[in-house]
Amino acid sequence: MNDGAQHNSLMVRIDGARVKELRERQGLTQLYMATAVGVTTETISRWENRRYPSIMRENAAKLAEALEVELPEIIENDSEAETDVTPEQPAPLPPNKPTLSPRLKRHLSVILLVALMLVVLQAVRYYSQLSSPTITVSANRILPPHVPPGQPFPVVITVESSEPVSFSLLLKENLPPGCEPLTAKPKFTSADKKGGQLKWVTRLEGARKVFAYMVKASLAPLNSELIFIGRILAGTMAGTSPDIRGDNRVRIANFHWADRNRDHRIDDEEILIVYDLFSDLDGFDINRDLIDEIWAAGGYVWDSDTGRYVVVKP
Amino acid sequence: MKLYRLLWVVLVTGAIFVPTYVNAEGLVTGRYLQETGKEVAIELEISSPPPPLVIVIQNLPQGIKIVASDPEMKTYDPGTGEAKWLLSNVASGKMRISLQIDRPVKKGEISGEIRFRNEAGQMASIALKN
Repeated sequence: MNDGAQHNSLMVRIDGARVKELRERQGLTQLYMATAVGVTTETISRWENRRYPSIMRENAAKLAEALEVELPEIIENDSEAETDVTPEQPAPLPPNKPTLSPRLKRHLSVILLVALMLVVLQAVRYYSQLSSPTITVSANRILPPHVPPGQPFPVVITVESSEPVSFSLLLKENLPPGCEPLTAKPKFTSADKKGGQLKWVTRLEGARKVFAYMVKASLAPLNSELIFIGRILAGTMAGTSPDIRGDNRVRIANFHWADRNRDHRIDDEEILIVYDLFSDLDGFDINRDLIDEIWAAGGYVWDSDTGRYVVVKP
Repeated sequence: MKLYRLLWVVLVTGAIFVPTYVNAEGLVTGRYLQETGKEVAIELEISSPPPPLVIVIQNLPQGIKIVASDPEMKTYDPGTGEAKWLLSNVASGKMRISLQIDRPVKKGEISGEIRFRNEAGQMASIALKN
């Protein structure tokens, strides 16, 4: 009895014809009503076409709301009702809308999350560098790939700090046996020609300092290799002395040091590299006139008898 | 679907604000101010800071003689008609190169290009515009 009473209180009888009349008057479709109530259009149609179907009170309230009327206006008053025993089917998913399978949704989520993490990591890394209290100093050496026997060639060492600083710097370079230092910018603090050790004791002001020196290996035979080793010690790096990285070998061969591809020419790309490398070193003599002359002429040969370059037109 | 839209918005926004490197080919550009007759005039536009070296190459018809050049060219081969300038320590802004030749040239008979090292450390070759 109680179950029956409870069930009856949950169910009401609506006037299907009245619902249909109100719907058509407002120009609403059955699809609209079905979506509003959360049932299928078939259910709406059944309600409208049966005389007084008995439906869930909750659904009746939604019908009234969709029709913008009070609930009593669509509830049957006193006539016999026809109980709608067909289960009120929930509304299906909206038609013609593409859906993603659960598997695809998972993959897409993973891809998006990974991409988002990469972006966040990159941003964190960039912004942390801006405020990082840790300063790192490194040194990089650039050497030509080759040089004829006994010919001077330049060595460039660039010292860089992770942020602008002002502290003392000690740079040590060990020359290969038989190599003689010639000139330097800035000047050497000390140059032990016998032991082959060069030193600069200076300050790093800012984030970058370039050291360059000319050296020649009078005794190194053709096809031998010269090996350079060096270290830096900067004011903040107590107890550590990193090696100078970058190039550390030069081969003795009958090609100008600026002729990187060994085609007996200094072409446009090679001369651009030379000027780029030494643009910060005004007054440092690398015999630029000879390089310009070889470039303009289009060729050169190395005369091993005289120990000189001979500029030739190809 | 709202979550996907949100993730896409954050992804795109993040990509915009994360620094990226841009390869600037446009450090130096050049155009002809005059390319017909017995005078050839070239105008270079150089950005700041200027590159350490700019190479200008001017291709003329074979056999033409260059009477005068300002600035002085570094090399000229009448056999190929190629004249080259090596411009170091150039200032940013505009720069003019003038040539006087021994016979008139017609439109389309000459061409040129400029070469320099761009910010990415690569050699850029830019044609002179007409």
